[in-house]
Amino acid sequence: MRRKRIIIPILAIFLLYSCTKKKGQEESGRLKKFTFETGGTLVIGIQSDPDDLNPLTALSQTARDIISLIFERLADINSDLLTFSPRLARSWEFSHDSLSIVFHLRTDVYWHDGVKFTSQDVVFTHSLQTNPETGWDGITFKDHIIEVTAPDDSTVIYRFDQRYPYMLMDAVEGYIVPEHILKDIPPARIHSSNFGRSPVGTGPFIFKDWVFQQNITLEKNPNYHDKGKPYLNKVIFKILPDELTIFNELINREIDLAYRISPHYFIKVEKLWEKKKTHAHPYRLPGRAYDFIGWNLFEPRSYFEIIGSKEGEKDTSAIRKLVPHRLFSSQKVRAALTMAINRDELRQVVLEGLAIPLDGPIPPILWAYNDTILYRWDYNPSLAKKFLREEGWRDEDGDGILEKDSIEFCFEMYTNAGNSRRERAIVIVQDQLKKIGVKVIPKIVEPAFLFGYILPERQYDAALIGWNVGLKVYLTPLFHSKTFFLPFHFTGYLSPKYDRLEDMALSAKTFEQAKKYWNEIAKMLSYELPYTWLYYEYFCVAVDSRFKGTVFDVRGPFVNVESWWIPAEEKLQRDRL
Amino acid sequence: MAAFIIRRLIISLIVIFVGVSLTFFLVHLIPGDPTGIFINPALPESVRQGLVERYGLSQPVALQYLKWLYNAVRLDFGYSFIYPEKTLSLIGDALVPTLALTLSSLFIGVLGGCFIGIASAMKKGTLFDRICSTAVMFFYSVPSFWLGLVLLLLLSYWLGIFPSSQIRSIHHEHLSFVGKVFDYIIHLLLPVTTLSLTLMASFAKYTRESMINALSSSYTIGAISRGIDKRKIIFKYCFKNSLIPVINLIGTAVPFIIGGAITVEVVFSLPGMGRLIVSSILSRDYPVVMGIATLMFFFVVFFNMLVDIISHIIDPRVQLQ
Amino acid sequence: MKIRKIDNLRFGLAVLVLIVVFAFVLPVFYRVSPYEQDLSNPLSAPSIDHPMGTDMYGRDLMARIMKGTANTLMVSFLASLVSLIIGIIAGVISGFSRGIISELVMRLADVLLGFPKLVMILLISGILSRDIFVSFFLLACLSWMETARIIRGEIKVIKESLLYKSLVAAGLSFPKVLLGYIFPLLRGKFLVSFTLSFASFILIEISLSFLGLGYASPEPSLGTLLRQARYDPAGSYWIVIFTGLIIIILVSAVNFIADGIKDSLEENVSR
Repeated sequence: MRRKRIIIPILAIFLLYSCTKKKGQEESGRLKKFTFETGGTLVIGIQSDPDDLNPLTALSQTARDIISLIFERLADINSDLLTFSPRLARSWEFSHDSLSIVFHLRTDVYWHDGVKFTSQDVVFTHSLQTNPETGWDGITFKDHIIEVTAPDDSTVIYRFDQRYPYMLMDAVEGYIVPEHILKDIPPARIHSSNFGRSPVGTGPFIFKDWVFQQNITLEKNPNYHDKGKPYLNKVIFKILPDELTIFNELINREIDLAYRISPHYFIKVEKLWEKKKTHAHPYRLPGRAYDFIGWNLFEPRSYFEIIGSKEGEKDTSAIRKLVPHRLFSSQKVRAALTMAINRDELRQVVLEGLAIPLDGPIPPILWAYNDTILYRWDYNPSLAKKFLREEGWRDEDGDGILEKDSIEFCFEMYTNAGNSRRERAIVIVQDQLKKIGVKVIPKIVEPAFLFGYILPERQYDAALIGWNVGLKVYLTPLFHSKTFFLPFHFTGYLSPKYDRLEDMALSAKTFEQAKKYWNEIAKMLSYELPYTWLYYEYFCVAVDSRFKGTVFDVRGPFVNVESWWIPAEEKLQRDRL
Repeated sequence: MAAFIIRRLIISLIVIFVGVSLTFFLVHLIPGDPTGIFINPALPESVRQGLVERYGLSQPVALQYLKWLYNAVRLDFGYSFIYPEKTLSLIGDALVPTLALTLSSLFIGVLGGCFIGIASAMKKGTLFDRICSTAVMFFYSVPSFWLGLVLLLLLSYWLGIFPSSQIRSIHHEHLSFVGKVFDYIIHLLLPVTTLSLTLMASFAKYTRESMINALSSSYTIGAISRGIDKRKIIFKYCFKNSLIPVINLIGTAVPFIIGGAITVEVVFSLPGMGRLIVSSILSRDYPVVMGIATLMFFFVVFFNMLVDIISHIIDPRVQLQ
Repeated sequence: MKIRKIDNLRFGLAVLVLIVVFAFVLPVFYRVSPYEQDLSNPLSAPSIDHPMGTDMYGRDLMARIMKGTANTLMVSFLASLVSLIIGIIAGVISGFSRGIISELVMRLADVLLGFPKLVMILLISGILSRDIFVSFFLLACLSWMETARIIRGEIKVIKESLLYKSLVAAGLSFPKVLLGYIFPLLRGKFLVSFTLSFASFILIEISLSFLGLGYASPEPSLGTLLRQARYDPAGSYWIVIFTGLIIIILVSAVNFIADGIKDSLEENVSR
């Protein structure tokens, strides 16, 4: 019995201790004095390992994020996504004939292994980038560059075959890799070389360690050319496949930064932050991705007969053999479906409002965006029903599903598994379309299957998926006839007018000229609706508030990591290791 | 005996070969494509084609199979499609946490289970037996990951005592040796508890049954009535006999040991085989999938053979299959 | 073999019947749809309209739990049935044939034993958009080995028995012997096998659905309910607990039944 008397108080103290450990109270009202101090560890939660840390062969978004801390480019793009700031190049100018750009490189840059950075590295990088055997996914950026020469160790000249608006962007795209390490490896073997496992760059952080499925550790570069920076000592990417785990660890301060947070958890972080119950400071940024429903304009079974090759052979006679889709070949039907989907509700429920409406093909963050000329199909189920009726769809047998010529208005809609937002969206869309008599059968499949087979082979009716947005306005792979048989042009959209317009837009000499054509294209596509654009997502980031100097914008969460610092007063135990 | 072992070995090898080959063709003939996960309109077709070439996917499947087989026999499972790492190395990295989890859970589960099973069989009908049986029934019927989930919610999120993910902390490197050991232990405590409880329940159930059978068998009763020392009988006969189903059970647990308890690993975000299996299949990382499949087949068949032999040694009346 | 006054069996059966009533009969009276969404009312607490509250789409949870239990029961039942049938066929073939065929069947069993079931499901579900019935049919095809082994063993014993030999000598055709004599003898074993795999399939369904590989939304099942509850545990601790309890009760009940049948079999034998 004596034991009982000790146990209970011990238990009580124990419980009390654990409870107090949880509260992350922010000191409110008191203005704190911050003492500048270097050091600190940034722990970032990511959902999967990068596929590769070699900038020439990496393909996943996670990889790109990590690479941005280890490697550098000649110049970095600014937040307007049009102009650039110096990085490895301190300055540049166009030649008199405007067909060349001369870059003047910094002379105080060293690779992480101590070797000096020179113009040879730039020339070498270019040769690898443009070599198809390397497999660099940005190869088309360099299409107009004839050659890259280096008259001396700190000067590089890019020569182009024509003048066009994107010249600087094209020259600067791609991280510079060390010639002295990679020069002896045949380009075809680079992807499996050790470099991807153990990269060497010039950036603010040096690669230290990669333990698969656990974490990737980067350490401060003591010889970084921006003297004094980076202020942080370490950056650790912690791999946590589960969103719930990321959320909990963020709140518990086991991780400091999480991005691409799903709206569901982000809202929770925002609520906790408002109530000052967490150190995780949430930020909403314009994102780089949008979701849409793609409609197959031809019957899947008719594709089955003609699509044999994935190599993109253009065979116009084969196209004539295709049968227009029984449901979606009519623009009016597509418009009706678009009007039947309550996209506001979708945005609200699926993304908790963390998205902006999107009605056309050009993303809001790009220069060519113009939402005034777009055709709007606002939510209007009765008009949708009217359109369908005018197209001959009626509910003859009273089962709630429309029919026409004894065909039911019933189709399969695919989406990829593992994306909780799309999985939720597809359930809601199904429900919304049911109300106008349309039956949707959702099919949630693995991405490898969806993107590797279903879409390239066009064996689908509708697909609810999304794209990430690049920096250029470029729709060719999606809608231009010359890409008709390639994997991304899976709607089968064909329009000579569109082809003409885009060709003109891409060969325009200035952005203003091009914009005229892009306006026409956007207007046309927003009317014809090969896609029903659903929403443009916000990019949600949360970072522990002890980090000062953080800048987040459309370019991503790592824009200025080298300038982040933690005041002495706010350092945690792990920051002092 | 030796002849039997050799014959068994040969058959086992054939079985492994058939199984692994079936897996290869299954995996490669299913539509879908490793390049599918990198899909992005900005990806130039030439690059995607390059990927296809690099993976060797444009060759006929039979040829790919022969190439793979040739390398596999020399224990070269190639490079993963997704990561710049050798397949065996990836599997090795993932195997360590899984083995730590499953072997320790198995150890505790078997020992604890056998103990409880035998004890409750000997004390059949008493309060002890009834309590144990109810507890056993509870843990036997509960999905292990649900248990893990509840423990996680309670002890990790709510009370904050245990870490909620992975197998070691961020600053693991900086710990002393003792600190490192403790770090591993505290990360593994909850998942191991979860799995041990479910395993214990299984083993307790089976040992209790076979122990009761042995205790009430005519052999035992006859021996007791003839005056042979009760303890001797229990130890020499009953124990041995009740261990046979246990060993068989362990044999069937081999896929579990290697594959890990996937759901538990998911709940606790452990970087083990579970995660690797799921991700490699979903991303069609063929070399890794084949590496894992080969490993699993090999171990299962091998251990089943071992189990048979051991059973035979313990009780020669057990027929060798 | 009669169902005697054995506590295990009766208790288990009673509980199972209760659950079946809950899953299949009650929905007739409780006419709320488990599919209907009400996006203005997500994740609400229990109320008069919704005795167990709503999930994140505003669907009534009471209805979903009922339907979910029904779905889980259904697919597990079917899978156990298929597994049993295949097991019986394999066991009979292997038990009655000699040499190569018998050996082959057992070796096939070995090969399949090594097949990690989850791997199979992952592979197949990719193409067939995770049709739950296909997945489970496949699982059933991978789960017959234990049954087959037991049946094979039993048949080998029966073949040596006097009664069997005399039946054969009397000239009875094989199917008659099989159906008229052997099957009734093995009825108990069949039932035990079936019940045990029923319990096991229930747990498998829950695990698969939890991982996202089982029933596809909007179909509810005990596993998908847990999965969704995990998505927002703060708001639905009690769903996790409640669903968990139903699962435990259900699986225990089935196990009790299996135990009970085993006990009654033993009673028969030792008499």
